[in-house]
Amino acid sequence: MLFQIREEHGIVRCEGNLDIRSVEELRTLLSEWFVRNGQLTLDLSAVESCDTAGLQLLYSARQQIASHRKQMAIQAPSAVVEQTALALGIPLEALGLGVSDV
Amino acid sequence: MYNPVETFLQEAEDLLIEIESAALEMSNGDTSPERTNQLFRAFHTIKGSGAMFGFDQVADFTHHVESTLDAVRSGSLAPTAELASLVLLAKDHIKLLLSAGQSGDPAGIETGRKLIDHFHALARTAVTGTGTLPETTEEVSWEIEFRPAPNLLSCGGNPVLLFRDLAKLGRCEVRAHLENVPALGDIQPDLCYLWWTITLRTSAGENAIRDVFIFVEDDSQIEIKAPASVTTPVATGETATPTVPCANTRLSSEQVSQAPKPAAKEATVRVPANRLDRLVGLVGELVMNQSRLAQAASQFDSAELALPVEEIERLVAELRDDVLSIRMMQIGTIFGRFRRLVHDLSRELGKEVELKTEGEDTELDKSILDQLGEPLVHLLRNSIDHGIEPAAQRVAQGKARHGTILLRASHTGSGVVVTVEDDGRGLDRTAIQRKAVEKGLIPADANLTDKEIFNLILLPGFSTAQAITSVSGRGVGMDVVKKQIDALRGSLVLASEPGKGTRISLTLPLTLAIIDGLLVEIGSDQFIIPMNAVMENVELPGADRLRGNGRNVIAVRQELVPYIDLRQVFQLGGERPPIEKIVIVQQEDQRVGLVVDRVIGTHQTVIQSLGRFFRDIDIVSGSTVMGDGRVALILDIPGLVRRANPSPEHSATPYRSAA
Repeated sequence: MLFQIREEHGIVRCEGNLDIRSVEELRTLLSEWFVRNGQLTLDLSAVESCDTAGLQLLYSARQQIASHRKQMAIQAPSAVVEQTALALGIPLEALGLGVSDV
Repeated sequence: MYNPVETFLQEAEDLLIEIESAALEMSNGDTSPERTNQLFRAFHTIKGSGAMFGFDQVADFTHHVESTLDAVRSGSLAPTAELASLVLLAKDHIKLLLSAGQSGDPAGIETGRKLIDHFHALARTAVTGTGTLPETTEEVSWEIEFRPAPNLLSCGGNPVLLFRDLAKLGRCEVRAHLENVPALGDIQPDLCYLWWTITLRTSAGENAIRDVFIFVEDDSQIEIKAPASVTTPVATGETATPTVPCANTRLSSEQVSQAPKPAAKEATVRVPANRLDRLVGLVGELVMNQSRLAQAASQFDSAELALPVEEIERLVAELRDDVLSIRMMQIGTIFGRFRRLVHDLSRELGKEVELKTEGEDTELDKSILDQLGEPLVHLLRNSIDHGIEPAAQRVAQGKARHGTILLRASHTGSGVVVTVEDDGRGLDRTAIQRKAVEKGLIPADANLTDKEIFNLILLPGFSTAQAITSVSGRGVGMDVVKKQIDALRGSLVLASEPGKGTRISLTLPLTLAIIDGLLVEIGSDQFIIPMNAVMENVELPGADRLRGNGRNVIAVRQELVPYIDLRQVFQLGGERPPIEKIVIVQQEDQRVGLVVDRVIGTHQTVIQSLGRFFRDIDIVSGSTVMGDGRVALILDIPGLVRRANPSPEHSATPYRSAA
């Protein structure tokens, strides 16, 4: 399936392919979210595939919150997200998978 | 609509050209690792992409060539001229398979199998006797630094797949470096900001590692650091022993790293030629309409109108030059294929011939280049077949064993001169004259200069070949070459010296799309004479015309010049002015006058084709629409000169011999 983003109860849920085709859409959404809100919970449990561009964007979002004193938590990443991160040699902690940042 | 198979075929075509050029270099003694690597990469890409697009026969065949080249890379097989010849045959075979389409070519299976057998036979001669060798036998640890091009991801590159391929070679640890990734506000999410260091423990050699990166290596920085165990000083290949693992791979790694990196590919866009032709046609119409606009504007004394019209004139001229320059291509693009021709023909005829080229970067319009290949092929065939002597004969004459053919292109004035020059036996004056007399082309007692005799070979049906070989004797003579050059508004000049060689110079216009002309008028009709043929203008008073007694010749500085009355040729009525003008044009060595009423001046114009209904008219090469809407015909000078000398005898023996 293609990429979909849903906002429910303050949680942003990503579904489908978190890859180079969808990163621009997610970047816009996250940028706008951080302008309006101080806290973000990203639900990646329904991500079916992901690639370097997708994970790079997650890391970029973490850079943003670090410099703007925002909060971000990634909730229940699907196995494919973790496997891709491991294959690319990106430590899970660097992406904040399963941990909350303040 | 975008067709990926079409793109693959175009890329494969480019790769085959690269393969041919690299194989010829190898054949000429270039045994450097980068030449082998270049060949390997090209075949590897064809194999991979071929399989992806369903060209299975191509992929299967290419796999065997690739394996042989891999043996060369690993040092177990020598890059010999024999291998280069096989690679050339393989290239031809792949070209045939590609043209047969995805379904393959059943007829090609047998040819392919024979070629594969040859490759295998060659591989059996390898140092080890097995053909392909693993590069190392011991497992060692490699450090790889991979800094991809920023556009890796948007170009379809996928590091996950690369690392998966690396993992197939051995135990692989990947570490991503994230420090370059910007924050959300600054990131361009389709660019790759990551880079990696990879530790790979494998028994495969460096070449196997490089192969993983083969599709991304052009734009990325890839550093493969040799295992620590071999960084101990091993200065040269002689000190390499089997006890030092990877010694030979380390050496090849050094050689590769010392080799100059291939120049970055220029950013180019492929455009179908017919779109360019249409663009040139539209610009042509724009130029003509701009000229009409300028003429109309000049009738109003208005600065408000004149200024923008002048500006449009400037812009249109700039646009015209730019559009025409898009169609300009380097002549080197066709020189490449001649190397193969010379390589194959000299082997076939048992001669030793070297082709030297100069001025490959000289640019010509694509439409001219497309039509120049065939005449040049014929001239080269002639040089190899008739000009260059067999090696033994050359040595007996005190010449170098190798015959040399020099193919040179250079700019000259408003055109380009392409010369084909060989150091062979030269044209045989006596044989040519005898043959011409036999064929009834000249009288037996004709007293001709060397040049006039040499020009006889340009007459239709003339051939002095002693024996019909597969090279010459194809029924295509020099007359056809001359006709093809004439059709390009070019000229051909022959020079030869017995025992020293022959030089044929082709002078060609830069483009067929525009022409610098001299605008002349007869009555109310206008004509354009190509400026490159115009030598001078003289007057023809009525009295002089009468003195000629109908012989249509005029004395210009003690030389008699025949002239053609264009009013008669085009059957135009009207009164002749008391003093007419003669525009003297030169076609090759002959001067001919063209009688007109008035000479208006120079005129650069866009040529419009006359269309197929008028294709048999040989005295007009095209037309153009003038500013006031009138059509001016562009005169074809070779055609008019032929009309001045209708018989072949006269075209070979200029006017003064006949007078």
